[in-house]
Amino acid sequence: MNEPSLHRKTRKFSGYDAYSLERDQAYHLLPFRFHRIHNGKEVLVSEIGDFLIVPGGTAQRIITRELSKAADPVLYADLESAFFISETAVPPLIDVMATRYRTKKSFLDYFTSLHIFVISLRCEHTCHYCQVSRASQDKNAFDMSHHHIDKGIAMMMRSPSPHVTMEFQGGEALLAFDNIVYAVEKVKEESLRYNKDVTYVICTNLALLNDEIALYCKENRILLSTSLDGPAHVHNQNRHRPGNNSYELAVAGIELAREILGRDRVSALLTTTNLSLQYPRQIVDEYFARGFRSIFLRPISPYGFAARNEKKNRYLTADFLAFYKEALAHIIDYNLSGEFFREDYACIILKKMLTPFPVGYVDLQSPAGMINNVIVFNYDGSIYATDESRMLAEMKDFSFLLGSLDTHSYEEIFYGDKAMTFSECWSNESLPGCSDCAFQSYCGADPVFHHATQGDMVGHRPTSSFCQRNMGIITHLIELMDSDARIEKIFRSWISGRN
Amino acid sequence: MIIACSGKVFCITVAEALYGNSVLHKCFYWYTGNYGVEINPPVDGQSTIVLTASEAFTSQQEDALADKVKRDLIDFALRDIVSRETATVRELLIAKAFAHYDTAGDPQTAVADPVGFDTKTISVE
Repeated sequence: MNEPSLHRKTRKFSGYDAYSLERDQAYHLLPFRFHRIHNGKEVLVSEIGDFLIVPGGTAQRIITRELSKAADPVLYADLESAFFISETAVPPLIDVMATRYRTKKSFLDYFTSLHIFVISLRCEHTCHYCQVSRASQDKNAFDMSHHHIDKGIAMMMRSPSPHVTMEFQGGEALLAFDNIVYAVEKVKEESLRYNKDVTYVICTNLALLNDEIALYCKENRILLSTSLDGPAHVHNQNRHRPGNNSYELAVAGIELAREILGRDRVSALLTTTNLSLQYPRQIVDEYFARGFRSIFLRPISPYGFAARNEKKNRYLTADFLAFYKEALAHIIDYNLSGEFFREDYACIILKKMLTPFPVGYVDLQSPAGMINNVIVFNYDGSIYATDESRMLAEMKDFSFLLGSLDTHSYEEIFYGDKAMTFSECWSNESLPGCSDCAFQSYCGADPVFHHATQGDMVGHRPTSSFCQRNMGIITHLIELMDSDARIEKIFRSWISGRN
Repeated sequence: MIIACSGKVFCITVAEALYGNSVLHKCFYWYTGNYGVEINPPVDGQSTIVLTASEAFTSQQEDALADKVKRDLIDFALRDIVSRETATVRELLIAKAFAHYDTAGDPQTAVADPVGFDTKTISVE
């Protein structure tokens, strides 16, 4: 009678030999990338986005099989547990790796969620960086018709996502508040039929906000997203309006919205102009003083009318990075003194670096957010792949026009020839310069940006300001965490929301 | 590796066996922002790359560029090794990730049965 054999699968732990440092030291590489950072160090990033900061030359030692389990037990264990190397050709935990990879791409699961309705192109501001707006008061020419609102809602209800966001943009969206009310009331009926959970957002400069509008927003749980470019002397120079009081109206509107809707129902966005670059600390202080506990240090979009005013709106990426780093240092100082105050762009990248989860930010995704996560219904019924695409159209560039609410079906828009063409260059995994980049999983692809700035949807990474900006910011964030453990703790508090 | 510089032209000659076509193209792609880049077909096992600047190189610039080229070539050669050696496992990983967990059977790994029992051999009465 044979002795019963102990099959390895039935044991909780592998045998002692499996853990011995004296074992055969051959190992297999798993997909990873590396990048040189400060102080002679390098960062290794695995295919699923985990990173290790190691002394310079480590990548070479790993790849040329100079690494020894006996001589480098800690590094060896770190590399094995973080999926940089494996002792078997196919790692035992490949299913775990696959789940991690899938989780990183789970923003694709429900397809398009953000639906932007350009409810009116009219505006009472004449901001020099505005990409699209018309000062015209011609309601018929520049407001979205009820017919197009209905068609847009019908298309939104076709989204596979159970949670969709309906964002009202302008011009100044509140100039067509009657249109917003019409759309919201319509969606309330339709969302019941289609079992959709709808989040409403109005993008507004708040100049026209009054009690009646604010109360309607409260009743319908509508979020308000506004613009605040910093202290009055910056904001009012960026955002012109009769009376030169855009700042005063924005601040009063923020207070009114907080009073009626609630403190967390209004957010503000910064647009960085040439003027802003001179005031990083003052802009951060303004946000903090106004009670915001986050700020999004956002560069200007080089689209539409904004591109015409080069003196005010065009700057070198290096200048933006200098502004960003100084502002971020000031924000970190607030945190070091015990306050919770975060920078949103850093937060998006840090969440990708420090958690297994993706971020629903359409400008930094691969595959890109265009169509996959966002669609734009313009005031005239035309449909664009992104918000920036309709800005290009204002400059007579219709490259990203997908069709019209009047003539195209859902399938023709979302799965049509144009969408297929864009798909060839919307994944950074297959873009020149990106395919070997260590920061691939933290970054994204932006065919619209590269078309607008370089005339080519694929883009040329060595001269791309998108690449330079993201490489600069990601490297800076890694170096900050490497240089000061307190900063890493602060960064982790930003993504967990806990002080 | 042979490096020669004259005026605006910086010329690198490398062994084809050490730095293949893919490595050279991926490496010198990043130089196309600042230089005209010409990668010539290998002759007698040697590949020549010509970088042309808009102004003549100073000796300081020449030294810095030589250091950068040597470092970048090694980095891209290493990246090429990882890319080639891990191509299969990367494909497998992505295929599994997007297979909607539709596995043909139980995962065949050492931790498939973490509590120490083989559930298939336990009889249920």
